[in-house]
Amino acid sequence: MRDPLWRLCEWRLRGSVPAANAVSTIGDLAEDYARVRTVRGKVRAWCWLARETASLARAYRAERSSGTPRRRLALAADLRYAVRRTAAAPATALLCALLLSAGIGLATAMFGVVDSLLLRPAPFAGGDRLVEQGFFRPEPAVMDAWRDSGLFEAVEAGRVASFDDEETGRVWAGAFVTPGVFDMLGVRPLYGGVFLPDDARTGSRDVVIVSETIWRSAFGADPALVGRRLTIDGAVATVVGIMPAAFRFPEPATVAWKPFVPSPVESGPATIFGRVKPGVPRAEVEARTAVIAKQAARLPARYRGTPPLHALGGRDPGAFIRRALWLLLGGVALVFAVLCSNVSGLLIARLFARRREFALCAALGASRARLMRQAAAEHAIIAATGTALGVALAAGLVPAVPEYFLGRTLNPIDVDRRAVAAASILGAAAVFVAGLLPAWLGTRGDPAGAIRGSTHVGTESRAARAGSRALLVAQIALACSLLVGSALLARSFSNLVHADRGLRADGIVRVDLSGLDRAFPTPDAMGLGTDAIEAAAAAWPEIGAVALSREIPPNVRAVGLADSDVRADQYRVNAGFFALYGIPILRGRTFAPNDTEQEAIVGDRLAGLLWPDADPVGQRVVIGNTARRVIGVAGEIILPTVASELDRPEYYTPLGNASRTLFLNLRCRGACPDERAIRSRLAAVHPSIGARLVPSAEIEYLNHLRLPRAVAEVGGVFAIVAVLTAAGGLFSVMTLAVGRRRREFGVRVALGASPAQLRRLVLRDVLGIVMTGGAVGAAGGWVVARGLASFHYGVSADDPVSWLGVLGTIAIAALAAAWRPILQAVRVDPVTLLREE
Amino acid sequence: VAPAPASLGELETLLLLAVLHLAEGRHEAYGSAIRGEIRARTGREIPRGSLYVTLDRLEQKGLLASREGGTSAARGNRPKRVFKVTPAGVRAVRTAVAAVTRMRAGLRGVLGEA
Repeated sequence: MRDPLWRLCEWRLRGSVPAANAVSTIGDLAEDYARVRTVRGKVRAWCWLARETASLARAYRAERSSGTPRRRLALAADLRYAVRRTAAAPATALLCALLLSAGIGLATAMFGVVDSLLLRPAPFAGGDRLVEQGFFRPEPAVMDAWRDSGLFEAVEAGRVASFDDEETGRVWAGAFVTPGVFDMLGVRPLYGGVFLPDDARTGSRDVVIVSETIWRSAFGADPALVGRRLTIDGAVATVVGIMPAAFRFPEPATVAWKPFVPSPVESGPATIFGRVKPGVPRAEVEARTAVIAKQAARLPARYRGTPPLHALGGRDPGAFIRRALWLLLGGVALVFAVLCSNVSGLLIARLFARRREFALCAALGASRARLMRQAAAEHAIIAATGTALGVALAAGLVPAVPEYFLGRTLNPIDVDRRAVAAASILGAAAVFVAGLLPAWLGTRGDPAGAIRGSTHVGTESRAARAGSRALLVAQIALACSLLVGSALLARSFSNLVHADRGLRADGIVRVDLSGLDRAFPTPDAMGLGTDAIEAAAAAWPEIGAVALSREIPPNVRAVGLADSDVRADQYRVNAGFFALYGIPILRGRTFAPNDTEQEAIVGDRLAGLLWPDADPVGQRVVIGNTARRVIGVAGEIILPTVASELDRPEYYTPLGNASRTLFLNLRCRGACPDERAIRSRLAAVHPSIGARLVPSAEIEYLNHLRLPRAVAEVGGVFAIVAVLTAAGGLFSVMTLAVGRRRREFGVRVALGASPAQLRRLVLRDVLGIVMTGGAVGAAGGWVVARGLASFHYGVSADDPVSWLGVLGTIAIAALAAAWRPILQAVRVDPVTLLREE
Repeated sequence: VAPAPASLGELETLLLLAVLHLAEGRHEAYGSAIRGEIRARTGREIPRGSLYVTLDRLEQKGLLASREGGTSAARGNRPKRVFKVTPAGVRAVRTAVAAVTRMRAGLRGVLGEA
């Protein structure tokens, strides 16, 4: 029926007639309306329709208002009353809201980290459909095959690089990307534009896009940067655009982009990115791309299988980080539980103080359910305030999230919609968890007693007392468990920092040499050339010792041993290496100039693994594909890391003449020459030798400490919050308990009890709670410590220092919290008390 | 022993009687038809809202039962809701009518009836 009034009426009725009967009722009306129209004409039918509709709507509204609305009114009244009560005595409610906000804030921030690292897809258009596959070199053929497969909306490619900006003297983490990448990801530049399709062709235009991050840090947010020419890697490039800081691609650290032409003649790893068409199952994409990779990609002969297809940005951050994150989420859950039980304790006290009011309501006919609903409404206000404050706190905490985590994800770590949703759920859970017991205990009134007006009924009810004590025990136990966990993490971190690495890496500068194959094209020339470099460097005035090597510690390249599942790090070095790094030769000798690849020096650990009972010198071993004779045993190099699989045994072979990549290791006396000086001095040996300083060993070692450090830091914050909260809980519960027992204490004093006896009385109460909490917490701590075992370094779950520290902290915190209540008990003056009666 | 039938209001009695009449004549007893039946027999136009609310209430009391009936183009292909008086409904009507009949006894003269 194409009739505007009819449609309006229908819409009106759908809103007022109960859904079950709406269709038939509207059908009846439609039938009658059609008849009336033919009999009376359009206009009078409209009047009729309006009247009938109004009649229906009015009747159903009247029907409704005799049923449900009363409950709605009651709820509104509950809320209004709750707001009034809360505003009248805001102190406890505010404290509860603050405690909740601490829990919600911590948990929300932690959720933000977990969400951005593990749960959320990459922050780009169609993020959950973006995939990437890494290859050993650019593979244009694979890209074409992807495009022809019909699986993808867009196919692009990129490779990671570092750009040397000669103007600012900085090296930026950059990437070469095909011009379409920005369109595929649906990102727009902050200023300027993106690459044009032609930019990728060599020679057409040398352009660069930079990130807002370096635009601000290195160029002072210069508005004229777009269009300026920079000298990058020795070539002039025009800045065409500035990307927002949140755009981090393809690596979290990338801050500059240059156009990329995937060419099959280039070497070096490159990645292909694709956006899968909607609705294409992931399994199909995986299967088809695996076939394409097999057919079209030029994989190395010894590479079996195909490179894995990843979700873009959703790259697995590694089992270790995943575990660490879930662990921290577990920690935050414990903190949340501590805070909730503290709030619970406060709410019991708050409701108990109002038991007369509740009893009065009960006497006037309010049911227990009604009273509990009243209490729940008040708790809901507290939780809503706590949630709002918690979200604000989380937003404030996010910048403090250890940078380590941000470097593992393309997602920003922020408080987004999902985090706010998580916070709200937590808030609701908190009302339920923290509010249920208080509401149950607090609304159990004794109307007769309360109305008699007994304001100084000695103590709280047995149930309320037991409830608040149990909550306190739980808090102390949880705090104790957290403290044990974080103490062990802190000890592990300290062990990692102070671990003996088996070498002296401080004061050593490492230079990455390039262009050697151009300078010395034949093996003989290479041999002479490297000797010349070494001799030249040794003659520099600042240099104390020189060594050449193809790997530098801490190495992460492992080679498998034949007939064994042992994997070992391979170092190809010359004789000076051991002296330079201070690695002792324990047996045999170091390399001599005429040693070949068949000679090897093994580390102490590998020697022990292979020949536990025999003299390793003179033994033979097949490593990689080469049989080698052991000529010496060197002191073990240790990589202090919680990822114990990275700390492998090692062996050394002579450098040889085939090296195209080489590191020059220099130990300086006093100040070291800088990169420019080294470069110009090496140019004197041969003009095509390039040189770049690589991060010092100290920095490399520190990188391995970042995860344990981040975990220990976050864990420490959790433990501190938990201990402070538990101490606060102890303080408030004891203060209340002493306040309620004032009469008892007064009578005791009147009967001749000494202050020391009173002190003992309260102390016994405190000790009972703390000892029970401590005992339960020790058991919990043991479980936590076992769960953390894989994050421990040189410390075991029963480490006496950690345990003593934890028990000491708990004891001190408990005494500090109980101090004032104890003094209060002693200061009771019986005369004042009697006057109050 | 059957439970005491609910006492009926006037409108309720009229509706139940109308549904019974329609059933006797083998017509579908849905909203518009019931209203038409009452209009035809008494000349009274029951307000639409009261009609449906009362039908709902009678169904809730178990005096009426409804099922989905036929449809037509004029209704925009919306199915009818066809009512039927339950045995409890029949008892309730009988009681209500009997009460009126007994109260009327001996008042013929006053009421001006033949």
